This record gives sequence, structure tokens and C-alpha cells, in this order.
Amino acid sequence: MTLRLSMLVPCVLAAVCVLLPAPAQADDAEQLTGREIAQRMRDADTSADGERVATMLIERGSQQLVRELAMRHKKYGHDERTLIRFIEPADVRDTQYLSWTYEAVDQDDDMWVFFPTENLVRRISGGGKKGSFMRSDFANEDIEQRAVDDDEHTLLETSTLDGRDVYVIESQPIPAKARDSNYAKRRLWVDAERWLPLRIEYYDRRDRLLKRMSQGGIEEIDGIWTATKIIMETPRRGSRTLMQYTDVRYDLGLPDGAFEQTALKR
Amino acid sequence: MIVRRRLARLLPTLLCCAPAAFGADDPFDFDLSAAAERAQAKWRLSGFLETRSRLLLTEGDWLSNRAFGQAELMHTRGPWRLFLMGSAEQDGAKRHYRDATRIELREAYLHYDGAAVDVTVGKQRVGWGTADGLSTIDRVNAIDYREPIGNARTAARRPSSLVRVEATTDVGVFDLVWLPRGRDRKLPGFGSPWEPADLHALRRDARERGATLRTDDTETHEGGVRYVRYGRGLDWGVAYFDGYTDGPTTHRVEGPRERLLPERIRTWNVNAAMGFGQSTVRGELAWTPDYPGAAGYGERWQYVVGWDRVFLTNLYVNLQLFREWMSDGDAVDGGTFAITNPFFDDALTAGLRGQWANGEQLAFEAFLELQWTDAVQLAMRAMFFDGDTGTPLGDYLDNDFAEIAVRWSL
Repeated sequence: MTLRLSMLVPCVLAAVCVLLPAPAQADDAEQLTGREIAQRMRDADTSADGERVATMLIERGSQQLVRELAMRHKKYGHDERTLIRFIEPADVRDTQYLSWTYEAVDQDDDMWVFFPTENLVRRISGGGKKGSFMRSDFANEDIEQRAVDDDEHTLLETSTLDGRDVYVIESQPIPAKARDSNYAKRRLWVDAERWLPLRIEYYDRRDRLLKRMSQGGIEEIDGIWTATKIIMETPRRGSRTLMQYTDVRYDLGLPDGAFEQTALKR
Repeated sequence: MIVRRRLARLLPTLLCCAPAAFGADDPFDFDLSAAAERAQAKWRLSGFLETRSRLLLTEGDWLSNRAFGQAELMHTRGPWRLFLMGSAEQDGAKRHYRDATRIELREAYLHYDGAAVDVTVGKQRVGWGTADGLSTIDRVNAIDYREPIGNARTAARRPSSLVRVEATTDVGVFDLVWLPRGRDRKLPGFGSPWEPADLHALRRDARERGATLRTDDTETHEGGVRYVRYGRGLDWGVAYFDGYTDGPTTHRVEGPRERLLPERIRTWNVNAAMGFGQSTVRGELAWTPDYPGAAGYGERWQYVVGWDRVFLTNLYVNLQLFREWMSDGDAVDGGTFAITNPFFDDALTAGLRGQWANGEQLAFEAFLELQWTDAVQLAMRAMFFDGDTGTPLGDYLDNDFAEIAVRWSL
């Protein structure tokens, strides 16, 4: 399990940014492009730092798996540092990942993993983005923070979803990024006021629906609109994963030391 | 049942935020528009039970039939953290070289997490170095020679009683470790399949002469310091450790008393790890000026270079090469490797790993690990050894074994 996780973690807390926040107001009169909508989603998180606990319940037929993570992040301009500590299941308990992610496309992210049984901090590299995140319906790329220009975004329509005004956009990976993705395109229903994606559908290269994500439990926490529940379904496999965030807090003034390698301890 | 208990503990957190879901069997049947509830902090008690059977492939005899339990208790209050880990085992394979029952306090320490300085006092495992499998500076903990194989490319090590101070500065991390009574060395019993041939010969000779050969430790302080600079794309560091060899190297006869003792050595090390794309490259260089080699004392040099990368979706490959040579020309060349890949929705991991060195030395392991549920893991592996007589791996030539283990996490 540990090794698998090490392959798959350029991401996770990016969910904080990609899936959760959104304070800006939509301008009804404004006609936005697909890219501008994607940029507004990307810019929605105004927090300087934050922390949360994520619990995943994975349902596969009669089997249910539980995952629990504690996550922290802090922004450094356009760059970001994240720390993830695994709480459940027991075989990866206290395993931690520290990642320093950079906005610059040509700068590889830095990642370190902490193995509690050896009390060892070890540098690792990204990889396995197509793989499953902790055996859930989420792939690593699903929760990875994608740069806006990693995809080409097209506005399909404006609509409503569950009573909310939404933009429906389609995002296709640029050729340089397509090889690292399971998906030929994603279709997003983006809340036109809070700039949160309320639903995402993932399609393969034959235009078949692979997965569907819905998120809700949206509340304003410390002034930032935050989704606290996400369901990812894989219809073909008949499996689904619920991810729920609790203890969400922003702008805590977390010290830099919380994102240094010496913070990686049991 | 364990899974149900865990679900019972966690599901209220998942569900209580959704009034519509109370009483429902389907944990996904809740109000997606409702907010989530805050979690609670508490003491943490955890552990596992494990049964493990090892069958010697050469003799068809049981090498081990072990029932093992481990418990961990952790409590955090402000910057202070207390951690205790203990284990108990009962080995049903009757062996003359070891007690059937072992109860050990494996780790016990108090940690202070300061803003710039962290302090740890107690018994703890500490891993140093950037290389995988074989590191030249991972010397804070002694190899457990009673059962020295962690896996086919890594030694099993014992936690040490220590005082550790880590200081984080703008220019890097300084890590000081002091072991007032040295490392906690354990040697295999007389006649153990893990007993090196030369140690066995000395013991047998002493027995035949009616002499007493003591192998008790020096219990003299050891310690080291390292500096690590973590940065964009590159970590590098230097380290120094002043301590004793892992195994005994001196046979001292003092009248009727005979002792086998490790010898004090000092090791200087530089190390680095660099990430690019999906690969990581690691390297270490170490110099020990006063190493007791076969032809006398001399300088020992060691280097390790390694590379690891993920291919396809989850195929992980790790390869390391090492060389160790004395100033008089004696050299050992070898390497370590690991290849793993998950299958069946990542429930099953299959892998190969091992190490080789000159003298026809080889340790090779094939393994399967099945995550049956969150709490239950099944593991099977077969391990094979080869090598010339008198070489470290050649001493385990007759120890090829197959293993099956079941672990219940609590």
C-alpha cells in the first residue's frame, strides 16, 4: 500500500483548491469563455493556508473500505506546500507525504514520504497519475491540481443543476498532457456564483462515460465556499466512493516549519 | 467483524451530518447539501495480531511458527508526544537456540516538537541516508542478527535508546543523535540458521575447549550528526557517525575469559537524492578511516547509486549498485533491486526484490500481498539464498524458505 501511495501523490490536497472553494460572484451579463471559467475555479480559493480531515468510504459490491487522512496546505504565491498524514487503514497509518508544488510548468514538484516503521524521510518523484488513489474510485489525476492550461476549455452551455445556475464546460487535455491521463475529456457543471464544480463527468477516448463525480455539502467556512462531500461513481464497475471533509479550517497562520521535512514524524 | 466495528466508529461522522440518512443502511443515502461534522481528537491505541509460518525448503522443517502481537499507544498534548510500542510473540517451532516466547518494548519515547528545535528522548528507530536497501550511513540502529533479513534487500534493525535533537534553520536541518549506552545489538543463538559461519566456528571451538565465549555488548556510547539541505529538485547532506561495527570483529582472550567484541569505527558520509520527472536518483559515498578488514585496519570506501521510477500505471522499479573497497584492494561489488505492481483494483501486490554481490552472493524474494479487507492482510513469499561459503549471504545458503502470514490490524 505504501509504495502504491508513493506513486500517486502529487495531488490530494489539490482537491482543496480544485474541488472546494469559491468566493467570487458571477456577473450575469458577462459572457465568459471556457478558459475564463476554469481560471475562476482555479483562483477561487483565497485562503493563505488551511487544514482538514478527509474520510473516504469505498463501496465495491459487498466490500466497504474506509480511508482517513489529515491534510494541511499553505500557499507561497502561486506555489503551494501540502502535508498529508494517513490515519486509516492501519497498514499505512502515520505514513505522510509532503509535497511542494510549483505553478511553473517546467518545474517538477518536490515530494517526500515518511515511513513510520523506519522513521525515515525519503524523496520520491511523481508518477502513476492514472492509478487509483488508495483503492478508491478517485484516480490520482482526479484530485490533482491541474494547471488551467493543461486543458483546452470550451463553454458548452449555461444551465441549471439542482436549482443552481451553472456553466457547462468541456475540458480536453492538451496533447502534451494527454498521455498522462485516463480521460479524453471531462465535462464540468460549474456553479456560476461560487465557482465550484457541482458535477464532473469523465469520458474515455471512445466518448464513453467512465466516471461521474458529484459534490455537495457546500458551506461557507471562514469566508470560503467549501464542498464537504464528494461522491465518485464508476458505473461500469458498480463501485462508488464517498469522500467527506471535516474539521475544515482556513487562514490559521500555519508556520513554515509545518511544511518542512522535520515535520514528518509519527 | 473488525471492519464492521471500524465502520461503526466512522460512519456516524459520515452520516450524522445528514439527518435524512439516520437509520438508513446505505451510507451513500444522505443529503448532499448538508454540511459535515467536526472530528474529535483523542488518545490513540492501535496494533495488530499476526500469524506467520516459515517452512525451510531445504529440510522441509519449520523455521518458524510464530504468533505475534504488537500494540502502540500514542498521546499528543500540545508540542509533546508520548509513544509506546510493545510486542509479544510465541514461536511454536521448537528451537534450542532461542526462547519460544519473546516480549519486548520496541519503542518508547517522549518527543518535543518545537518551532525550530525538536527533541526526542527514549527508544526509537531512526533512518539515515538516501539510498534504498543498503545505506552506508543508516547506523543509528543495529542490525538484528537474531533474524537479520527484513526482506531480500533490506536488513532488519533494532530501535536504539537515544537522545536526538533536530534543529531546522534557514540553511538546512542539523540532526544530532547520542546513544548513551550504544546500540542494542542482538546476536543469533548458537546453532541458529542465521548464525554466521565464522561466529559459529568460534563458539563451537570454545565449547569444545570448555571455555566461555562472551558476546555481550560494549554498552559504550555512540553518536552521530548529520546536516541535510532539502531543496527544489535536490536533497543533499553530510553525516558522521562514531560508533561500533554491527557485528563482533575482535576475538579477545583475557586469561580464562574470551570475548567477541565489535570495534569502534568512524564513518563520514555525503549523500544526495534528486528527482526529475517520474524518476529519482540517489547516491551515497562513505569513508571509514579505521575499518577492521580481513587484512588488518585500513580505509574503507563505499558508494551506492540508485534509481527508481514508476512505469505505466503503477509498475515500480528500483535498482541500486554499490561498491565497497578497502585501501589494500579488497572490494565487494553488488546491487539491490525491487519490482512491484498492484493487480485486481490494487488489492493484490506482486513483487520481486533482492540483492547480489560478488562471491556468487544472491538473496532473491518473490512475494504476494493481498489486502483482503482494511483490517486483514495475507502475505506469501519465498526467499532464496546463494553464495560462497564464508560470505554474508552464503552463510544463509540452507535457509531458503517459504512463508505465509496473516495479519489482523486493530
